[in-house]
Amino acid sequence: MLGMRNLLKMKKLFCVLILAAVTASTVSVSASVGAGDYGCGNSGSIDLSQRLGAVRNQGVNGLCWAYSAAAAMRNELCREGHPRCGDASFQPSIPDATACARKNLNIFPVGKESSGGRPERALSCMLGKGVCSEENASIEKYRQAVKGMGEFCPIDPCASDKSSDMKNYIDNLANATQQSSVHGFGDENSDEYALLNLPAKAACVYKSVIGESCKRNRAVLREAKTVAPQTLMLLKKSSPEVMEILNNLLKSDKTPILAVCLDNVAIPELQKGLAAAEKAEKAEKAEESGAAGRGCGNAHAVTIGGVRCHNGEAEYYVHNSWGKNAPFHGWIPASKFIAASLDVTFIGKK
Amino acid sequence: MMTRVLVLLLFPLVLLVNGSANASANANAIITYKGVQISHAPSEAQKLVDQGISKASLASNNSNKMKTKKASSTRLHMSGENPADLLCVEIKGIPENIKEEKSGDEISICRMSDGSFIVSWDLIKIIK
Repeated sequence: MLGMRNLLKMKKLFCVLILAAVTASTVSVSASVGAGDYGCGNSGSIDLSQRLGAVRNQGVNGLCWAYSAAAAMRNELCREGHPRCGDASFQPSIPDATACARKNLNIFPVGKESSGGRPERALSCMLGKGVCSEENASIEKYRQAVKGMGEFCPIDPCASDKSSDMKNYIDNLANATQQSSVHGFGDENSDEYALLNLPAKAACVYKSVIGESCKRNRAVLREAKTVAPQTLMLLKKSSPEVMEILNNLLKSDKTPILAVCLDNVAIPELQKGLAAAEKAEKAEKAEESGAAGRGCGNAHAVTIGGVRCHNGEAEYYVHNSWGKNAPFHGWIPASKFIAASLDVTFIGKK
Repeated sequence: MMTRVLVLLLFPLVLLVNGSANASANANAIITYKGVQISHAPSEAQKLVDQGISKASLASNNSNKMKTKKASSTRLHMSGENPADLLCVEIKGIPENIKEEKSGDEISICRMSDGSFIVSWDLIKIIK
């Protein structure tokens, strides 16, 4: 009997030991999976970076969504064999990328030019109307023209003169200028209203300064009618899943637009820059972008132009719009930024 | 202005430009413009490099900032302003783009009131 009890006890102990061993091995497996989350796998090597064109700098504009979409659009045009693909000066223009983007995305308040948005909108604009090259339709040229018209100017050649549209403009302008309302709205005889009553004038500026200058050079994607911008949410995806999505898009010749939370990008120089420039703004930005609940105060869009394996880790070509010498640009190890992914946008079949 | 040719040697920490005359900066930084290296008098950009940017001064500048807009939308909008250019504005500089002629790549610089300038991303390096 005693022997039987001892045997049972030993069995129990053995089970506990086995369980502990299994648990330990599971932990060690998951630990090794964690370390290998950013491994090369079968990603292969794809480099579409040349198709994205020159590195640009958006400066203090909040137009990363337009810059990243313009680079992705350039890739699409190159895929179709656009004759100027090899020419660095050929760049889908930012005014064209923002031209049809409505709802407070299309305003450039002079001096405070922040205007957040979504790349899908920029892609829709460019797919719908085609794009001029930046040399014919430069954002600088447009700004100069806008400055000549008054302090604020909505950029929207698609705008109608309907009063509902006008009200949207005014509301959006109030948002963009950090005012609870724009003084003068409602009084159609006021100077302010005259100044703000700009869609027709904006269309005119666009046409005369930009539209006409690239009339013959507008690049239209041949398959524009059969494709559309698509977005996948990545917040609940693991890093390997995010990488698989990016790899598959790159394999199908796409250059995805990746939305990242800059706060979680592991590049010290970038974090130092963010801390210095935006210390007091972070919380407000989170609220502004609707990202507060996601714990992200600095959402940013970049275009992914390639993948390769380096020292056993996947690296991605990040085409950023902060100038050539920015720290978060070029071939970046996956471990530095993939976990910061928010969503991915690309041009796919309808 | 935008198509100014820049040949960057040893990747300068500070670039100094005044009108059409472009100059080299400190011992670590040499800029050659159209094949000419030009010496220079102390400039605002040079002083900035020598003295560095104190975090305390940035914090006080930030507290005076205009409130940012509040969007009605709950969708995740992205803006992603260049942090180095935002920092340039903080220190009362004017962000500007320089374009490399061959590649068309842009480099962000921060121009000071005396016309001298520093590569914007190098501002981050001199924060104390």
